[in-house]
Amino acid sequence: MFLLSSIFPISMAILSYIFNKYHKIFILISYIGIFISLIISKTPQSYIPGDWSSSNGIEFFFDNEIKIVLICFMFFSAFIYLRFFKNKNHEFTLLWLILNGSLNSFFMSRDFFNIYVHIELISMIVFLILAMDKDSTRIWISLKYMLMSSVALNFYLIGVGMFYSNTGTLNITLSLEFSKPLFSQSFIITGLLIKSGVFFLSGWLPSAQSEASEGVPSILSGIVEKIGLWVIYLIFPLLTFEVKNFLLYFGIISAILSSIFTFLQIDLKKLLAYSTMTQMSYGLIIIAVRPEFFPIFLIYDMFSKGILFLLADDLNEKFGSKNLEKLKNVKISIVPYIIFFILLFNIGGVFPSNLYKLKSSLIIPLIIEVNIFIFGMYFTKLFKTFHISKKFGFKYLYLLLVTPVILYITYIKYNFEISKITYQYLLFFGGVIFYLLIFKKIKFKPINIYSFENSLIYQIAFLLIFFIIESLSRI
Amino acid sequence: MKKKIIALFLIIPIFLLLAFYMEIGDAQSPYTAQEILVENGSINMVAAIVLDYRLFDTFFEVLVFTLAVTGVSYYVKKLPVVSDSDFEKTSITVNVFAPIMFQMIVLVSLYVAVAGHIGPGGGFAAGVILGTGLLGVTFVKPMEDIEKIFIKSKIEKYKIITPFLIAIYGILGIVWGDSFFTNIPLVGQPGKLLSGGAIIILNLLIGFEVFAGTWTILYKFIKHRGML
Amino acid sequence: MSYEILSLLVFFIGLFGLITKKDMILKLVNLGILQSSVVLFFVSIAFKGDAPIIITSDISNYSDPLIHSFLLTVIVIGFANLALMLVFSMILSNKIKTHVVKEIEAKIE
Repeated sequence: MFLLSSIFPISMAILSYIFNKYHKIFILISYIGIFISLIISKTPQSYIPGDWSSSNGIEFFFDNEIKIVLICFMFFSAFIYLRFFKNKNHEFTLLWLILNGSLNSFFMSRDFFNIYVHIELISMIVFLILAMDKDSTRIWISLKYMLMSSVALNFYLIGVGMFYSNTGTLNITLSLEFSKPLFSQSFIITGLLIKSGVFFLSGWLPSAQSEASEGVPSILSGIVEKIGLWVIYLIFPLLTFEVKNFLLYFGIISAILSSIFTFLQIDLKKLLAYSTMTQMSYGLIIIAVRPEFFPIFLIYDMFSKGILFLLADDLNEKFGSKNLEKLKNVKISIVPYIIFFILLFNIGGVFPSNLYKLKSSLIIPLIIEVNIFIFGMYFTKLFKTFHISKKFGFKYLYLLLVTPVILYITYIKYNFEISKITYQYLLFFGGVIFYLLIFKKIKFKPINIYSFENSLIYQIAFLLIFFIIESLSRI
Repeated sequence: MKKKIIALFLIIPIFLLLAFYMEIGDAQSPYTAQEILVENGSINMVAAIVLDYRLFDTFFEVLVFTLAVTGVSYYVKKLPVVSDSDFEKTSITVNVFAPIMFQMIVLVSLYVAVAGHIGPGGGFAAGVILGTGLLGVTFVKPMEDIEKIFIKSKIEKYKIITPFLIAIYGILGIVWGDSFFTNIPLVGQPGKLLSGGAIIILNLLIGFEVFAGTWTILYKFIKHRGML
Repeated sequence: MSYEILSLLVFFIGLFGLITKKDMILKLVNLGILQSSVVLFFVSIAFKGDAPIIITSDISNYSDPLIHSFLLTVIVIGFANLALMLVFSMILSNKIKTHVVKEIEAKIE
C-alpha cells in the first residue's frame, strides 16, 4: 500500500497534462493521496511487486524512519510549491508531480538497478526545471550538469557490474555475505559523490545554485543533492574498513576547504552554495562514523537550507542584486532578519544548534573545529552588511513559529560539556575579532576554480587516489 | 597542451592498475529456463524479465523517455525554422522506392512488436524501426504535408497516455493476483502466440510510445536544422 | 577476462576525448563512445559460451538474461540524454554563434 504514494502522483501528473485547465486540482488530490497512503501503511514491511521471491524481483522496504522522512518531505515540497510555483503552467505541474512521486519510491527501493533508474529520472526532471525559461545562462549550466551527471552515472554502472559478477543478484541486502571485487567500491562511491555535491568533485554546484531561477535552489539543495549520500548510507554495511576511514578523512578535509571558499565569496547566493558543500561534507562524516543519525541530519538540513535560500531569493527580488557590495546597508524587516541569522547560526555548529548535538555524539579529530573560526568570520561579514528597518514583516511570521520546533527539538540526548562549549565560543569570537581587524585590508575578488574541463580532471584525480588506497589494503 | 599531459598522466595509471589487478567473478543470475517456462510461458527470457519480473523498472524508463521527448519538443520552439527551398532535390530512385519501402517497414515493425515473446524483438526495437522508417517518407514529400500529418494526428497528446495505462495495469494487479504489477494468469503453451500473459499488450503500448518519441525527435531536428 | 579490459580501454579513450576536445559536439560524440563501452563491458560479463537466450529443447549454456534486460534500459536512457544535450547545444550555438567551450564560458560568465 505504501507504493501507492509513488504511483498515484505519477498518474495524476499525466492526467493533469491532458486536461490542462484543471491542473491545480490534481496537485491537491495527489498531496492528499500521498499523505493518506503514507499514514495507513504498517511498519516495518518489505514488499515485492508481482509477488516473486526476493532474488527474482525488486524489493521495497518501509519502516518508521523512512515514514518520518517522507512525511517531512511532503510538507516541505508543498510549502515550496505554495511559495514559489503557484502560477506556473501545466507543463511545470507534470514535472513537479513526477518529481514528488519518484522521490517517494526512491527512498524505499533496495535494488541497485532500480536506484539507477530513479536517479536518472530525478536528474532528467531537474535538468528540465533548471532551464525552463530558456535563458542562455541557465541552458549552459543545465548542459554542464547533464554532462557531469552522465559521466558519474556511468562510473556507478561499471562499479555495479563488477559487483554483480561476484554475487549474481542485484539486491542490496542479499549481497552482504559475498566478498567484494577489488575496484568496485571506488567506482560506485566516486559516481555517487559527484552527484551529491562535496567540495572537490562537484563542479556544477556553485553556478547551478546561484544562477537558477527563484525557488529552484531550495529544492536542489533541500533534497536532490542528498540522494547520492542516501545511497552511500544504504550500501554502508558493504564497505571495507579502509574505505570507511578514507571517507571520514576526505569529509573533514573537504569541510575545511569549502568553509574557506565560503568566506571568500562576494555573491550572496554563491556563499550559500559553498556552505551547502560544507553541509554535504558534514553529512559524509556522519555516515562514516554513526550512520543511524543520518535521517535526522537529512530532515533538519532540508528545512534550514530551504528556508535560507527562500530568504535569499526574496532579497534578490526586492533589491535587484545578489552582490554583497551592492547590498551594503540595505534594510530588512525585523522578522526575516531574525530568522536569517538564527538559521545561519544553526548551520555553524556552536552550542544550541542541532549540528552541535550531532557532532558531539561522534568521535572525530578535533581539527574540524577550525570550521567554527571561519564561520565566525563570514557570520560577521554578513552581519555588517544587513541592517534592520522598522517594518515588522508580517508575511514571514509563520516561519518564525515553525523554526524553533523543527530546528532545535530532537530526541538525541546531548552531552552538556562546559569545556567544549567554552572553547567553541572562544573560537567563534576569535573569528569575529580577527575579521574586524583585517577586513579593511583584504580585497575580495571572485575566484572560479570550476571551469568545465578542470572539474573533470579533479574527478579523475579523485578516482586515482581512491584506487591507490583500495589497492594498498589488498596487496 | 597542458591539459592533455595532465589527463594522460592520470588516465594511464588508472588503466594499468585495472588491467593488472581487476578481478571479475562469474556468477549467474537466479533465473533458470525451466522456471521461466512454468511461471511465465514465453520462450524469450529477456522479454519475460523486462515485462514481468522487473516491470517496475520498465515503467520508470518509459517515463524517462517520455519526459525527454516532451522536453525536446518544448525547447526546440526557440530555434528558427529552415525553409523548404534549402534542400537539394533527391534522386529518382529515392522518390520511387521510399513509399514502397515504408509499407514493408510498417509490417516488419508490427511483426517484431507482436512476436516479441516468441523470438527476439519487443516493443523498443519495433518503435525505433517504425520511427526511422517514417523518416524515409520525409525525404520525399514536401515539408508542409508532413507538418499537417503531425499536427492532425495530435501525437503530442497521445504519446503521454502510455505510462498512465501501464500504471493502471499495475494497480489492477491486485484484482487478479496479490500485489501490484502481477501478470495476468494466462500462461498458455510456450511457443504459441497466446502465451506469456499480458506481454503482447505491453509490447504494443511500448512500441507505440517509442515510435512517437523517435519520430518527434528526428522530425523536429530536420525541421529546425535542415538536411545536408 | 581480456574482453572486459578491452572494453574499459574504450571507456578511457572516450573519457580522454571528453576532456581534451574543444568543440562541444565532439565532446558529445565522445560521450556516445563512453556509453557504448559500458554496454560492451556488461555484454562481456554476460557471455558464457553459447549465446542463445531463446529457450529451445536442449539448452545448457546460455548467457545471462538479467544483464541483457537492463542493458535495454541503459541504452534507451542514454539515447534520451544525448538527444536533450544536442538540443541544448543547438540553442546555445544559435545565440552565441560558437561551439567552442572556452568562448561560451567567457561570454556567459
